[in-house]
Amino acid sequence: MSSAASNPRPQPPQPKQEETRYVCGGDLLFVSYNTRCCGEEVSLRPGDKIECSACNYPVLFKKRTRRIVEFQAR
Amino acid sequence: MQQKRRSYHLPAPGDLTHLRELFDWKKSLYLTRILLWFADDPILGRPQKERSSEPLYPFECRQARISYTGKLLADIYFQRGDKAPVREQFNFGQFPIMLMSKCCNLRGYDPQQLVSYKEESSEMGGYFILNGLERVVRPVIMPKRNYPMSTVRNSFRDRKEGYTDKAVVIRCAREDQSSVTIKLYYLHNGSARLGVWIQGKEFLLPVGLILKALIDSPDHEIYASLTCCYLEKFEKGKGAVGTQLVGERAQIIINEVGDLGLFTHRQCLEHIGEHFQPLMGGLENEPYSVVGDAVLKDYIFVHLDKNNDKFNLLIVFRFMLQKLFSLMDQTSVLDNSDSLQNHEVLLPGHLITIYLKIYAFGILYFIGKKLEDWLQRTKKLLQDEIKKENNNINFGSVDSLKKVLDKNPTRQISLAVENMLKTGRLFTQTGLDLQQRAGFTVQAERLNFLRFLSHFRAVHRGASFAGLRTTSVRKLLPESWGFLCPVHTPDGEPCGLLNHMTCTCRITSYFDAQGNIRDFSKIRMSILSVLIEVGMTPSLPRLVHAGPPAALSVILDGRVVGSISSNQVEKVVAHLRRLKVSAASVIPDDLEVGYVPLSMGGAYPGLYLFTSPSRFVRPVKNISIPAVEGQNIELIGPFEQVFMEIRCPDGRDGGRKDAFPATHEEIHPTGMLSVVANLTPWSEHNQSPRNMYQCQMAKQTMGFSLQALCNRTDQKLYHLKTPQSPIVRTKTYMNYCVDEYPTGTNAIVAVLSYTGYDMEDAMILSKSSVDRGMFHGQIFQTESIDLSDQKGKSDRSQRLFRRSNTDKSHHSLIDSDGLPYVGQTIKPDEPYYSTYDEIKGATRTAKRKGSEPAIVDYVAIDGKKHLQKVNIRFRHPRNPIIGDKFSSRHGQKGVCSQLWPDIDMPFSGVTGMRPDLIINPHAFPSRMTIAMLLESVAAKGGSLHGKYVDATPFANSEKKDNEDTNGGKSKTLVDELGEMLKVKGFNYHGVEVLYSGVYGTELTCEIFIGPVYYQRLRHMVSDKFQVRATGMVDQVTRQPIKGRKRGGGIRFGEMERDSLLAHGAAYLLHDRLHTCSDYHIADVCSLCGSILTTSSVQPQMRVREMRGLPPMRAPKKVTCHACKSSKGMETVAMPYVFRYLAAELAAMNIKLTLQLSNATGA
Repeated sequence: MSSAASNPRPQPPQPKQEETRYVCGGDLLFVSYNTRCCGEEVSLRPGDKIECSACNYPVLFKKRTRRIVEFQAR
Repeated sequence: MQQKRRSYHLPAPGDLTHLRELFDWKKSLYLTRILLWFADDPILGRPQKERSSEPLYPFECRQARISYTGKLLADIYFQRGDKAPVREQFNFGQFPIMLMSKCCNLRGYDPQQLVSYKEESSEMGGYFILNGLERVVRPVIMPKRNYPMSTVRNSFRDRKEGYTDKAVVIRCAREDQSSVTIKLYYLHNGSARLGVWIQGKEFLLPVGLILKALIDSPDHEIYASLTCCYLEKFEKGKGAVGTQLVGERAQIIINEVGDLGLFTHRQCLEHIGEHFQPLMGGLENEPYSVVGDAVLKDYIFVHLDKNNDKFNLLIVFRFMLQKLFSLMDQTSVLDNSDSLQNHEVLLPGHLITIYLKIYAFGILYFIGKKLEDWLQRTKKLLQDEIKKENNNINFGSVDSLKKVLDKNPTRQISLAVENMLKTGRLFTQTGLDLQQRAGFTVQAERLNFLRFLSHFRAVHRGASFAGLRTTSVRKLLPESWGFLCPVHTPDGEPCGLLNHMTCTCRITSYFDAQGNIRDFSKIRMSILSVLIEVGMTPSLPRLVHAGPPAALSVILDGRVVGSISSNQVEKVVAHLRRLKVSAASVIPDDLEVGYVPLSMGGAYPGLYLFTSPSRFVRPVKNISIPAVEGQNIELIGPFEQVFMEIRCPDGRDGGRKDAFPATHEEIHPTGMLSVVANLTPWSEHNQSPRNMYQCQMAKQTMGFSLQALCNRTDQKLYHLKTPQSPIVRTKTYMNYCVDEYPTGTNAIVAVLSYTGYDMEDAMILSKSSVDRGMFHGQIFQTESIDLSDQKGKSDRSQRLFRRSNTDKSHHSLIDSDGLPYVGQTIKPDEPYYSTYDEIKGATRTAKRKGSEPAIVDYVAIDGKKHLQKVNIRFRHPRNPIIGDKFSSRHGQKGVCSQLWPDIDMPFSGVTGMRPDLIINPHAFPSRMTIAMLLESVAAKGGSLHGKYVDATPFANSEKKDNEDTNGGKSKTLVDELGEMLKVKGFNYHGVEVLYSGVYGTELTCEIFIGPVYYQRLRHMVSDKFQVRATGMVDQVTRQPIKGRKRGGGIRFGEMERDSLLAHGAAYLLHDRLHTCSDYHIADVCSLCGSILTTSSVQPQMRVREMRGLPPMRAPKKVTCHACKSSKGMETVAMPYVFRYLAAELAAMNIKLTLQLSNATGA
């Protein structure tokens, strides 16, 4: 009862949060330009801090979907 | 090659290091006993990331939609009374940084580094990034600085009683590029008035007053000085500018001052001071003579050195007077204010500097006021302490002031500049001596490389001329030869106002080749010493100098430095030109030696020398100097060009007379064309308007826009997927590396009338060629969504990207992060991202607008604590369809009318080849684009031989060294091209036997067929088609709305109505204008004739218990409120606007009555 009072709107049971995969957008930065260090693949769940796990660069590019994508060949 | 292109590309480095110059005023405010001035070394920092010291790069600014700015720090000196000044640093906010300028983080990077920082390998900079958008400052034409120009304008007559329409105008520019324009008006009585603009008002001063205020000498000396240009023995001789009237005028001028009751130098000065004191801020308590001095110093001939100013002022003044008198006496002609001869250009750096100056000045004033207030307040508290310690009292004040100032007002400076660049608008009271307030910046569109490049080569005549009724400003004048391209100007509204510089034209800079600031006073001193060496009489110690027929005045940047006897001057000019070219001399290579020779009533003679920045210059060969390692290339300006003898490089004299042998020679005839115009192959064979059209269309072409395409976040980008390098190309194509950004495809073009679908500039594309990838393109569209700054939102709810876990209906379109899947196709009205409101606890999805499906190209998320900022880029595939626009490089545009099946295309009897593209032969006779025919033949030959063909225009206007040895006449161009085909067994004229693709029979004519470089223009039907059956209607009138975006219709207007009327198509007319528009059935009261007083009462739904039948609806009951009855109610069909009209009229107390009758007649 007490728990229900503190949380009047009971949350629906959280399904397992899916991860989305990103690629660090800071590739080639913060290092001399010919030693590539980043381009690290990052997996984030909703609510995670958005930065590259390797170089802390804040801009990430989403990876292409692995679902089948059909195109009209025209 | 890169380097070469870079140097040609930028009009001039608009570096912001002009700041140094700006803060160098040492000009203090004359506030009560407090002196403030800027230290001369402001620090403009490199762009850095917020809250860290890491460098900020341009690509990050584009991505995050922020501005590329660096911190501006400057020191201000405080001084009170005689105490030692205190220096204090202030933060002036984030100042916009031009890309590739000295403060840019990319400065000096090699192409490889540039690519690693997600730029183009050939990035040239020259623009600003503001809120993620690239903006360029468009150079604007200004009157030439420091040159007295005789002008005739009717509006001068309206100044006051007695003014004529003639005046001599000079725009004096200070070292810091700000300027003051002074006008010297001629009066009917023979006198003159000096017009100065001070604080938005023009003040007219008698000339004698100024003369006397300038110099303390007796009247007869002034008289002698004014009349020295007239000698009786030269009267009406060649080059004599003075007449005997000059003496009378001088008399009047001197007498005028006496009439005012002013006789001495001091009296005149005090007279000026007395009248101008209220206008000179900060000089309220100074004596009149000091104020008078300040007026002369700040507003009259501000371009002169201030150390020995009085004397110089006087001589320049006298020169202007003499020019004015000679204009009156018609011994010289007026200068054309529309010709490039009297023009220069306003550069970005200069614009920013002068804009910054007033703001900086305002800040200084503001600080001064604050200081004063503070001093007043603490006076009592501190008075004793100050006296005791005798320390510098300002020190404490500075500290506390800094707290107040550092927050806002000082940062306004950079903000003001940023806003000016964002909007292109100046916010000033004074107008800064500029003729326009808006339109200084434009967005640099990266539609294709040529368009981007043209932004930097364009010069605008000024926004004030755009509204002018007269067309004289738009005229192409011979003075602009070699500097402005005659071909590359848009037709239509900005025609002739928006010009482009030729490919060889440059603009003189404030910086030398090494990027250091040039010391102009030093340059002037060295020129002066050279001049004295060769026999110039310096003007300095004496007041009386010989006039034009005997001697010519030498005017160096608006200073009359001396005179040279007229039989010597030509030697001097030649000597100066030699020194200009030689590398070792101190004379700068861009010195303009404007020698205006003596003439009978021509331009006012003199030797005008200009060293100033922002002049046009272009290289020509000086043939009087032996060519040693290209040491004879001289830079000339538009002022001197008019009086020079420059011949064409064809080796002939160009119809010149022997008395005037050519001294210079053009380097190449293509130097008169702009970069874009230079890319048209054999443009000299085309009718000239076609070349103009091509310049327009080249800039609208869908091309390979960018190499760093994957990193760009531009709002809209056009991209051609399968570009090719043209087989037929000009030398410029190689010089400017246009191959890095190709704009078209070599299509096999057959010129024949084949299907009937090629009339009126329609063209047929082969469907199979298109299927194989010809002209395939796409549009990238980036959407930036930042949930953290929703300005309209009043509730401070935080929103972030998240998808709903309960509602799974959108999960096929929206990924687990609330954003679309990369690679997903999104159709119109499908949701593509969802946001979660933390307070409401609700998820919302956003739907895609538009009419065509788009593919998600990339999704970039920007790191903040929450997922709030994203860039989503969509890709619209745009392969050619019926209605898309294409053009060759010769102004021959056309619309695709059919994608014709390959099997039905005609084919060559020999090679079996089918054309990619068919155009109608009628495209040629009236348009006379011969170069397109040449291109077809040449490209055919070139592809057979496997080599590129050079199509540089005017190739035969160049003297070839081996011309004589070649044995008489060289082959014509057609001969050369035809021969190429003949060698490979093709027809000499480029025609082939073609067979019909439908019937398989031989076509009766031989068909002209060959490859032509075709461009795909950005105008596509998919962006333009507009169709509507039903849809939204206007709220008030109930008529269909307009606008393609909202699904509106196209107006069926009066003229369309007239044509239907004329045809008697009454039913159609009724259908269009009534049934399909605002058809309405109104209840009209036939008793009172009103349509407004009727209202229907919906009776209660009475359910009748009748099994098997639906409840019957009671008939609508309509009553008239005016008549209070339901009798006489009629229904009448009418347009709804009619009802609206009745309502509007009723609001104005006008009653509208309908008299109803049967259709059979009243």
